[in-house]
Formats: sequence, structure tokens, C-alpha cells
Amino acid sequence: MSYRTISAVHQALRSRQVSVAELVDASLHHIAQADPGLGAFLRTRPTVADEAADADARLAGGAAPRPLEGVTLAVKDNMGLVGEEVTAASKILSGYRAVETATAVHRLQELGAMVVGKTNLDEFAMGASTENSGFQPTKNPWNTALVPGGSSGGSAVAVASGQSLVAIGSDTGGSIRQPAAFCGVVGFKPTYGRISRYGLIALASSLDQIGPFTHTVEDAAVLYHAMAGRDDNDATSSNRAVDADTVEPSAKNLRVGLPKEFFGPGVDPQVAEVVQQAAAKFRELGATIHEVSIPHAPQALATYYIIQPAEASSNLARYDGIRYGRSERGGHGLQDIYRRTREAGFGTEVKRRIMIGTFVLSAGYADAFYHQANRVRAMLREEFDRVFDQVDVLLTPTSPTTAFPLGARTADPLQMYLADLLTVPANLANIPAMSLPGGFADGLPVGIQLMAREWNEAAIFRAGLAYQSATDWHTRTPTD
Amino acid sequence: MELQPKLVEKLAALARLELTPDEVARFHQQLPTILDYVGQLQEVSTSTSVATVEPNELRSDVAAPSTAGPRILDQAPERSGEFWKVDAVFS
Repeated sequence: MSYRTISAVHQALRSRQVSVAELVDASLHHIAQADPGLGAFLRTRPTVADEAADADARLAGGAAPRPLEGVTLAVKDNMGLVGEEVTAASKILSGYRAVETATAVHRLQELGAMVVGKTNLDEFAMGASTENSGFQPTKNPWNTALVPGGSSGGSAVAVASGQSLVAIGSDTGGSIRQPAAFCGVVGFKPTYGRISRYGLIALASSLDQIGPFTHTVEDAAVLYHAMAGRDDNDATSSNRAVDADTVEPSAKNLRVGLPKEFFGPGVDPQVAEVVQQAAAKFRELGATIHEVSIPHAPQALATYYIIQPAEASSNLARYDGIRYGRSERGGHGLQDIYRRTREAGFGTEVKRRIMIGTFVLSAGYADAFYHQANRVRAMLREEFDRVFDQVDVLLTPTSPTTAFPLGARTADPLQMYLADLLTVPANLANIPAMSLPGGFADGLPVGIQLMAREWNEAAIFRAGLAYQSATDWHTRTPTD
Repeated sequence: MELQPKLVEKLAALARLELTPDEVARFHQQLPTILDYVGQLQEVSTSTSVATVEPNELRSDVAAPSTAGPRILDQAPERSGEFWKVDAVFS
């Protein structure tokens, strides 16, 4: 009983082959069996069985199935469900209970999604391998000696290993797309401001966005539409109307751009080759391929590793042992509570990024670093905007490499930061971006990345649907 | 990038982090490499660009009831009635 799409689940529900309770039970059972070897989940939600029983009662009473009826969903543990533990994979929040349910999660639950558990992440979403979790590492189901990517590694693995049908994560510099690429699933980051950040534990407030992990572009679009749209609890969520959920799944006359800066020497040749094959496939499907340029793309990583730590250092100031979370008392006064709580509760990468952020914001350095980074960010946004006058979507590798071994990059922070090379530009430019399975290199999944202009999620769905109708990379599983 | 000798300690104090001697040594070794890398931005000519700021779309300023109070206060590490208890501000 293994479904890979929402429509397959709905077909089975309609024909009464399966009940919501059975779907949820199968998921929890699979997690119990498979997760000790993978570490994707921090905890499961036993209460979901009651939610499933309620859903079955509604259906038995004649109610129409909702768009996400019976869909098992894993949620990254930096998004809260009211009254339930949420930790951001940090010891500083161990035992902390969310005071509200995150809007994005609430919207999915309202449409029938069954949250089966909370998934592992790099602590406070800082990382590209999920190795920075304060609790446990997560392993790649394609090869358990390798990382699943990060920071949403747990969510990517939950879907890739079939433990849940879909998942959601957050993406600040690639934290949905890169693990999706490493794990052979679809991962999508919408335009900044498209999905409410209310209830998402903040990392970098001008960059964070929530998005789905699925097997298909079609299902990513369903989850996106369920979550997208204005939320009065998030002033950065846009009042702009969400496009209707009808997209022409054809690449005929689609203008696809290959930005040369994304195919430079840092990119593994086998990965670049997979993307070139994808471009050839788009051409077969009637698209036109254009070489384009984003001149300041090579400076995007430096820009990101100034702005994100700066915003993170500010956002993480709230973890001070006063109002909630871990609290180290018994010292000499207030300052001791702050210092000792944060020392005991934060992991090394978190401390490192807080230090970098503090530096780039400090007097004497702020103009050369933080303000300069914001000026470069503005230039990047303009360059992307101009490129999207020439093409509808950009096609690039998602990650410079395939999944690397656990422990391979933990000694050298900069090596780890380089994993984000090709994903940070979309966050800086506020534009939507998706990774989808595009092939394999040495038996490991390779993700291809599609980017489009702000608010033009439709172009990405169009290109992605066309691609998946003509290829079958997204149907491969680790146990093939 | 040459860091001032006690920069790591100064940043730790600003960020309210009580680092161990090992951590100070490690960050003293790692931060220059990272700051050198991001410092390359100083070579980018940005004289004509203006940083854009996203507009916040505020909701109307109308009070609405909330049930979150007890859930919030219940998590106080130390509590005295409706107040969070903290150590002396001046010590």
C-alpha cells in the first residue's frame, strides 16, 4: 500500500480501497520500521490517529473529500503546532511548546492533511547537511553513509523514503531545494511573502520561506496553493492575489535561460551534464534555450553569508532563558542567565553565525559589510529582473555536487557554506525556485533547479509539469 | 583578514555568549577565513545602487481577543503569579 501522489490517495479513498485511518497507520508503521536507520523524525504525533478517525467519520457522513484528504504530512520541527513541542532541533528549546499553530500548517490541516510527525533539521535551520541538529543526524536513504542535505534534511528524507506522502520545510538559502536535490524529490520555495511565516521559528526574516516536498510537481502545486496567500499575522505576507491553480503543462515556446555563472568551475561536471540533458529535453518539448548572464551571481554567496548571519544574530537574541526554553539560573545576576543559557543551549554552528552576524553589524564594520551586502543584493535583484524580460524560467543545477559523506565538511565551515552556492541567489532576489529530480550521477540523485520572476510561480509549475510528463526521474526510489 | 586580538571575546560579550577557551581558540582560527571570503564584497562597486526594503503590509490596528496568554506564561522558567521572575538587573 504505497502511494506516491495525492491523486492516487484520493482514488483509493473514493473507491474505498483504503481509509484515512489506514493511511495514517501505514505511515506511522513505516516510520517505526524505517526511521531508526534514517533519523528523519524527531517525534511522531500519536494524536493524528484521532484526527484520522474524525476524517473518516466526516467522509462516512457524506462529506466531500478535501483537497488534502488522507495526505500524510511531515513538518520540519521549526514550525509549531499549538501545545506541542517544537525545538528547531536546538537544546535551547527542548521541551518548549508552540503557543500557536503556524499558519501554513493550519491551512494544510484544514484541507485534510494529517501531520504524522516533526522532522529533524540543522539547528535553527543553519546548515546544509542536517548534521548541526542538536539531537541526531539524519541519513540519506539512497546511501546511509551520506548526508540528506539541509537544513530540511528530515523532511526530504520523510518523503524520499516513503514515510510520509509529503512534507514541508523552510528555505532561507536553499534549505528546501538542496535536500530535495540530494534525496531525489521535488522541493519548492515560493516568492518571498507568498506563504506566511507566522509560526515559523525565524532564522533570517528577509529570506525565510516555507515550502513543500513532494514526489511530483503537481503535488507541490497543490500544497503551495493550500498554503499561499495573505495572513494578517505576518506583515511580510503579500496581499497580492494568488494565481489560479490552472497551468498549461506544456513547454512549447517556453523561453528557458541557462545563466553561465551557475555552470562555473565549482560545479561537478556530472551534475552540469545532467542539467544540459534537461535543457535538451526542454528543447525536445518545444522550448527555446538561451544563454544568459547574472553578472553578480558569483558574489551571491558572500552577500548571503553577511545578511543571513546578521538577521540570525538579531532573531536569536530572544533565546535568553527569561521567558521560555532552557534557562541556566543560579549564577550572579541577569547577564549570567543570558550568557550561560546561550552557551549551554546553542550548538557550535549557531554560535559561529551569531558571531559573524554580530561582527558585520558592529560599529566600524556595518557599512563595509552589512550595508554593502544589501546594496549588492539590490543589484542582484535588478539583474534577475532584467533576465526575466528575456526568458520565462532559468534552468541551473540545484547543488554543485551530489550528496557528500557524513562528517566530510564539518571541520571546515566555508566548505559547508559552498553547498549553498547555487541556491542563495533566489532567496536574495526574493524569487520562486524549485528543485526537481533530473537524473543521477554515480547512482546518486541530481536535482535541476528552475527559477522564475517574482510572483511567477506559474512558469515554474508549467515547466516542471512538462518536464515530468516526459521523464521518469521522479518515479525512482532508493529501494529500486 | 587580521582580527584585533580580543575581537572574538568582544563579539561573544556583545552576543551574550560565554565561550569556552576551546571555542575562543576555534573561532579565532575560523572567523578570519570566513570574513575574508564575505569581505570580497568590498570590491564590488555599488555606488549607484540603493538597497530596497520590502514594504510591510500592516493589518488594521484593532485589538482582538487572544487565548495565548496562559500558554505563554506556562512556559516561564521561573514565575511569580502573572510575572516572569528574573535575577537582579543590577548585581
